[in-house]
Amino acid sequence: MNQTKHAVDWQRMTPGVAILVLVTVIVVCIPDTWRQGAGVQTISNMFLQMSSLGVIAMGALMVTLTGGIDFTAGWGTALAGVVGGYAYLLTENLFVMVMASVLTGFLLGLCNGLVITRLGINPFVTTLAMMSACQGLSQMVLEGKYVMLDTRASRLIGGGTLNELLGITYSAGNPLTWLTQIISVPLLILALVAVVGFVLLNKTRAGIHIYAVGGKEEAAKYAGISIKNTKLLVYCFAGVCYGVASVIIMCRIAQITPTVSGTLLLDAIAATVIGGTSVAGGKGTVGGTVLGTIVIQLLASALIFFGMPDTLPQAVMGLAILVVLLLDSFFAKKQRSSHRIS
Amino acid sequence: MKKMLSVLLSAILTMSLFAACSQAAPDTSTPAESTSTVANTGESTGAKKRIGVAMINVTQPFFVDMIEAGNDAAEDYNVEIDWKSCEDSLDKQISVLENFIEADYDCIMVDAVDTVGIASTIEKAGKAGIPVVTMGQLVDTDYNVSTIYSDYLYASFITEMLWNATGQEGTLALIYGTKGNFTSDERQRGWEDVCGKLNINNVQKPSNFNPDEGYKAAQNLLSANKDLSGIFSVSDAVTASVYKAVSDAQREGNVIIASNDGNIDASQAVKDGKYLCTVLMGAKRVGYWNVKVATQLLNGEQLDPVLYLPEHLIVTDETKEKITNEWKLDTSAISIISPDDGIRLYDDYRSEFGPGQ
Repeated sequence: MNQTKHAVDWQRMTPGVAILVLVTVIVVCIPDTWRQGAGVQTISNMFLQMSSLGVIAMGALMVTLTGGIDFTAGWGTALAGVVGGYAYLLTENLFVMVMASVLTGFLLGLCNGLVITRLGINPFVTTLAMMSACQGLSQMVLEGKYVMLDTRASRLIGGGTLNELLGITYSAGNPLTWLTQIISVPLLILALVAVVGFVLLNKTRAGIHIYAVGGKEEAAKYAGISIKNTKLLVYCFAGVCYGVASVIIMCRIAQITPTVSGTLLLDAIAATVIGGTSVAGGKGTVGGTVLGTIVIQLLASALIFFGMPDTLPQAVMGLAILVVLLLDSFFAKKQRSSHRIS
Repeated sequence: MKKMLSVLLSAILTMSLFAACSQAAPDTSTPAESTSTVANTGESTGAKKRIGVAMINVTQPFFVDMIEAGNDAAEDYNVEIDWKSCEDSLDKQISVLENFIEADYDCIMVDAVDTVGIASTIEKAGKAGIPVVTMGQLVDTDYNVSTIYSDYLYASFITEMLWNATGQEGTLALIYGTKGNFTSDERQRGWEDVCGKLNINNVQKPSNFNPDEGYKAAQNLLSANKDLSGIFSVSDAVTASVYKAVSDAQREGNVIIASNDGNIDASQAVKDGKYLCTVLMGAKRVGYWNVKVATQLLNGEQLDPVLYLPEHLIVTDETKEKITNEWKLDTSAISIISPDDGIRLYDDYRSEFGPGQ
């Protein structure tokens, strides 16, 4: 008798499983001091903190899908921020600042893309060199100084809630209050970028090309897909993401400063990989990357909740990422062997 | 042709990567006034004396201001000065110092990445007859003058002041810089000693001198500690985002903020009532004063092995009144000035430390 087995796609479930495990551990083991203080505000903070990372991770996703790499995530974000900030200093217009940041990011991505596709330079070397260039340039723009940024609009962009954006006030006890507290403007921006990314990857021809180039570049070439234009597109998209993220960060911290690159690059790559994106290219989803970003944020929050010594977070984060990757690899092998049996 | 161009561009990009990684600060040295050669003893025989400075990095706004004022001091004291970034790397800093020694610089200034790791290279410079100034750090060799700041003293005082300002209630938080950074460690030590002595419930988080991380740290501390009544952020650049986090959490009225460094923005924030206090080190004062110390060594002056930068606590008159009359804190070792004086002195380093002062 024939039985049709529907194999569970454990590999795609890895980020979801990781989130479930982390949330369970946190809820069960969280110290009392945090349990008393935790609530809507804590969840809101987590979503707020992950928004800029999530936007950068969307850019990293696109590049990784084509089998590329982009080291300019961190310093590119800083450069986009200070250029936008400089534009703000000249014009005192927040809209101009946003446009300048996004345009700078786009131009950075365009530069990366052109060097990689038209001149045939390896993405590793190209983006590594550009990263250093961005680092130097970001210091030059404001001569290394920081400038305060504090307007009503910037406060809204950096951390305003949904009801602040809509100008709605709920009465105490209204169940919608907690929902609108959690949904912040940066989270909405992340959602918008994610939707654009989803549509690009799943509803357009360009998306098909992106997966094809990452999956098997030679085959894509013979299928008539323009490898160069596809790769150029993803680097431009990534650059725009850095510009958008820089605006969120500057508005959140109320400063225009070059010293924000931090661990953005590593965290963004980690978010895409944990989200199921293959570094070899051709595999990955927007949803997975969003889940990967949530995992990174949960990990960071868990380390704080459990009072880990401050010297440990990076080490623990790295180990946790390895665990997720091992799980991913385990489920992938399990899936391949179940396909062979069926 | 295209392949050759690709190879050439790869090589250029790789070289630019290495060049950019060296992140040399703007070379501010001026051409020597004469073509006299440098004697083997390392002393210039008519040309300006040369000072080589090995900075931890040149990306922090504090260091950028230091360099700006340091260049003014070089001009006023008639020396050449070369600033080099060490990219937060001890290895690189050792290389930079060795290059200075090889090039016969007349004096070396170093902001040590690691005070223990750099000691042997400083000794090497000393044995080569080159005086060394270790800025902001206590490095224990026979060949250097350590210029340090009263971080421990002022951090201790601020902690006690903050505790009193909060009515001696609730939990206090410290947002420090980075473990291993001498300045940050000293401020943290001052904080911990006072919290221990007065049995203050406190929490601590690092910011790595990154405003974004400082914002997140403050946000998390506010979430976890509903009774948080005061935050001491050890760097003005980070304090601005800490204040933003407190403001976003709508707890401006019940969380008091203290800061350090004495930037103009911070002094203004004290004046506006946003911060309780800041401490005027002043990045520009630090830069100018350190170059002055270096030129004193170049001129053969005998200096104490440890020198302290004059610092000032910036508070409003109202707070000063409380310090003395209500909280009765010991101010014998503390210099207290107003925010307006703090703003003036931040840029007026020449009148404070210039030639003849």
